[in-house]
Amino acid sequence: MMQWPQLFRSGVRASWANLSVELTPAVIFASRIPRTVLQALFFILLAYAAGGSELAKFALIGNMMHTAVFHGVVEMSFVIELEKYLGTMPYLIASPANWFPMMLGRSLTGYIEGLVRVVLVLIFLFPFFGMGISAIDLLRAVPLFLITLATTSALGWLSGAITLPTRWGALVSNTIGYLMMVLCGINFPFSVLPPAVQWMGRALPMTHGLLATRAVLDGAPYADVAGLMAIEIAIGLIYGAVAWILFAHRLNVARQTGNIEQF
Amino acid sequence: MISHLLGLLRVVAASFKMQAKERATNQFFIGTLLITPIIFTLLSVGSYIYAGKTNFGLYAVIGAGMIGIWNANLWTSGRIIEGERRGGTLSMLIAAPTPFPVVLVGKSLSNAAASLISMAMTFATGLIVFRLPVDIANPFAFIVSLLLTLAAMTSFGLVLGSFFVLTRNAGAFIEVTNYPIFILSGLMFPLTILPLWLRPLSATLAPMWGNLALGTAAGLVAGNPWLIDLYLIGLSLVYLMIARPLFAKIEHRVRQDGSLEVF
Repeated sequence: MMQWPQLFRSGVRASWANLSVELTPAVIFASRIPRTVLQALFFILLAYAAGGSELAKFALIGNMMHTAVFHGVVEMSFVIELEKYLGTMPYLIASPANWFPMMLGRSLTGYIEGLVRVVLVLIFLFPFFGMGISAIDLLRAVPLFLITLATTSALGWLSGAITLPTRWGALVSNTIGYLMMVLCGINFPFSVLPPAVQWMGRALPMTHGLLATRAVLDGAPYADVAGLMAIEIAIGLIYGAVAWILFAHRLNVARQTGNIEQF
Repeated sequence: MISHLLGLLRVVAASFKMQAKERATNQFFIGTLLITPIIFTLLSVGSYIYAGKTNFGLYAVIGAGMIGIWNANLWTSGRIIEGERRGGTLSMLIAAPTPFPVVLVGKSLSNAAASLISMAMTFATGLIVFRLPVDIANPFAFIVSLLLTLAAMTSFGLVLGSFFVLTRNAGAFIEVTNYPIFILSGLMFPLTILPLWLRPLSATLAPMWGNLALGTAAGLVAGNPWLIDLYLIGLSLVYLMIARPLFAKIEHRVRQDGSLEVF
């Protein structure tokens, strides 16, 4: 446990090094920023066409959160994928150091990039579609936002753990990210979905966090949404625990069978 | 002359077959052909149903199918070149006596043909999940319009594909190109919600005319689908006239600079 902070820092350094190679000014300004804003704009315009400015505002809040969550889910899974593709996974497994703080550190830049994406959507789209939301309520929603992003990261980690011995990690994590748009009530309330599908939505992280965030943005006090956030945190912890167990199991199996590089 | 043409057709056929084999195991294509169309249909039709506009259901289904076709085509042009570059075969293909655009046409046609699956997926989703009536007023005109749309989109993909030779970040730029095209083409919402000054830009895009042709053939929009089909043919020719010299220029440049493998 004494080495955990150092391992965490090493993970952060490694992930920042990866990201800084990828993020050239051309990629940032010609790809990342426009992609984030335009994707959110597309879904908000769809909501506007369907249900006017009220549904557009609903979609703005949903997409603002989803842009970070989607990135969080994909990036958490990608952290594991990257170790495989770079050929560093066997070293990570063989090393006596604990992999958990290292992996947390490696996912930190993804978490931060997710938050940057939220800020981008806020800057570019909030003035047009965020009518009626006060700045105070927006600030009050920030802690709920951060908690929800953390809980959904657990889902990304679980996705990475499930797909560890396969080569389908990117497809699975992207599919989960897109499915959350339908199941978690991003563009329209999930009450319109069939009951069985609603149940699936309730079992996913983000659904309760997003409901709580919407309520706070409408002016509700924290006490009113405490129950929703408690469920959100509990779901995140369950996903995190399952991911931890499954990932450790995958690594043990890989050690025993020596097939970590076969995927 | 005839033997030369037959030789070119052989190259097109071989590239078509090769691309089909590569696609079968490529998770990007599986995602864009089978998964994304379902999710986009759920999101678009769900939004309209929630807002009580059930008559927009078929429009949204066709639009989601167009998005699937566009995704498969754009991913095609970018990913084909990126794949060849990463596989170390791009310079050999460009140096070969067979013109590279002929290889690209074969591969693009292969993906264009496969992209029809995405249209089938959106119709199946509309039928199964939302039990939408999918009555097409003029099925023959619909099929002809669909094929002409495919041809126009593939031609447009060839224009963009020329630029992808220049960059190793084709994938990142494809992601950015997607959403503006979806927005400007009115694939999921009427163009009337966009500012007037954007209309001329929409008029240059094959997906906009393809969507209009399909909507007219389906009986959703008043008008003559055959007239729009003529416009699609003209647009395809214009794209090809742009793509040919553009590719020649870019090919000349990368040969002269020797920069094809410097990335």
